Amino acid sequence: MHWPVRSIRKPFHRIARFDRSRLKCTLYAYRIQMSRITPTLRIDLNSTVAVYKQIVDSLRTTLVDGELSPGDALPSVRRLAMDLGITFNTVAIAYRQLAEEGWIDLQQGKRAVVIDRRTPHPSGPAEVHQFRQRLRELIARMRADGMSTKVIAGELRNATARLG
Amino acid sequence: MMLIRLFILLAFAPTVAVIHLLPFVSRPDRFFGVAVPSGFRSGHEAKRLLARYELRALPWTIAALLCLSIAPLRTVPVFVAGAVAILLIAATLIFAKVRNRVVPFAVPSSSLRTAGLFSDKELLFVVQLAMQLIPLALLAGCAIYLKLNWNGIPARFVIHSDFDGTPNGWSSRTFLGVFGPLLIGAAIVLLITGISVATKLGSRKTSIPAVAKIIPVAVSWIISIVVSAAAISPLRMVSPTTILTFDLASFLILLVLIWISLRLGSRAASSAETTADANWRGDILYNNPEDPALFVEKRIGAGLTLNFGNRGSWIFLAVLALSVAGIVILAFAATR
Repeated sequence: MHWPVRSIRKPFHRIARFDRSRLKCTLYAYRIQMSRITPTLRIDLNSTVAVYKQIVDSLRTTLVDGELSPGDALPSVRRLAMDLGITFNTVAIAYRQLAEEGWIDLQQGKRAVVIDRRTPHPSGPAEVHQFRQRLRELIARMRADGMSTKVIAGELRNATARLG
Repeated sequence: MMLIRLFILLAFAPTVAVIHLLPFVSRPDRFFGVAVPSGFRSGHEAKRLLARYELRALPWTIAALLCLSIAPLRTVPVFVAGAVAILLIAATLIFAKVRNRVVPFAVPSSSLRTAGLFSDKELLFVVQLAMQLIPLALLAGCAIYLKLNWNGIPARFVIHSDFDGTPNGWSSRTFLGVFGPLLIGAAIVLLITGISVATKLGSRKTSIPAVAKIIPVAVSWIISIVVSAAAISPLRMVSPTTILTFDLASFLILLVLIWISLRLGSRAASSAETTADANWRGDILYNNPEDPALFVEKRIGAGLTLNFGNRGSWIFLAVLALSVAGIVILAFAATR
């Protein structure tokens, strides 16, 4: 882990008889605590993709990447809708879809909780064909936006490596 | 006489401060309410526009201060009200003119929205609420003390004096006359706590600095102490000079807290716009029925403003108006 010694040393260096090692330990503990990056959900209201679908995709990526673990509580529908500035229904639909996919547990009056999702059965030839088609469309769009095949291949490699 | 004049000018100071400091306390991505590119605020054009606003508002401020300095004391309330109204109207017009000159530099608002998926600051809010409600115990303590010393309270006592010290308000040893100030204090503390809860539950997780959370706590404590001192004054335990000195000191402390909070808030505020331009009227009124938030970040100045497109905001306003009306009626009843 990178420790930004230079950034903190200067102001404290001037203080006489200062227990720097103790301070360093405290700051180190604080830094570890802060290093658990808060997963963030991001949507684009101008996107052609429906907002509820963006939420589902974004949350699914967070779940697959392991940024949210089983047992973690998601924000309430009300809170997430308020933070994103969208209607409650849109968030509720997204949560329902994630629940149907087996990612979260939805119970009346309780916050949505991430559950331990069992790996589904391997997809059949029809599903594989469908995913291949979607992937080809995405790659075509990336090419159209000016990305080289090398960059696209690198991005795909990184994405699959991150999934483990 | 000099002290009275000084007190009047001090009471007028917040208006002057709001007018002249408003352009400095807005979010970092906004200048005169307009979304501007990063670095624009520290550029030459921004400084020129800022100087234009300040120089045009200054003569009005000087004129208002001169009027308040030479106006006869008996007509001072009328002069203060008039000066505040004229100054606010003039500053609004100057602000609007300068804002029009900033508009050509505006950048389009972002359509991106982000939300954190963890919430871990609930405990801090509970502590804040507890600190806000503790002063109620002080008020209850005063009420018990007054009840125990009921016979020591005069049948009729002074509750207000003129500028020259001549009493002009009396109350009597009745339930409302004695406990009225404490009831008003408790109502104000509960109202402030209610506003804190409503803003917490009805707004996005904005980066409000910790010092801004201290302000409602400080106001609750100051009001409770002042009201308690006023309530036990019929027993002649607290002199009016002590109460006045405490009022002035509290006022100054609050001004400092508000200033620090505005400065820190304007630096820490998120640069990502969370509201669409189409939902704003003149960058002052926000109206978006699709947005479930009751409060959104202001575009001009710092802090929160209501979402008038949300029915809940109107309910909040109605409850607030009724609560204030109730407190005013209680104050009239207590001083009758």
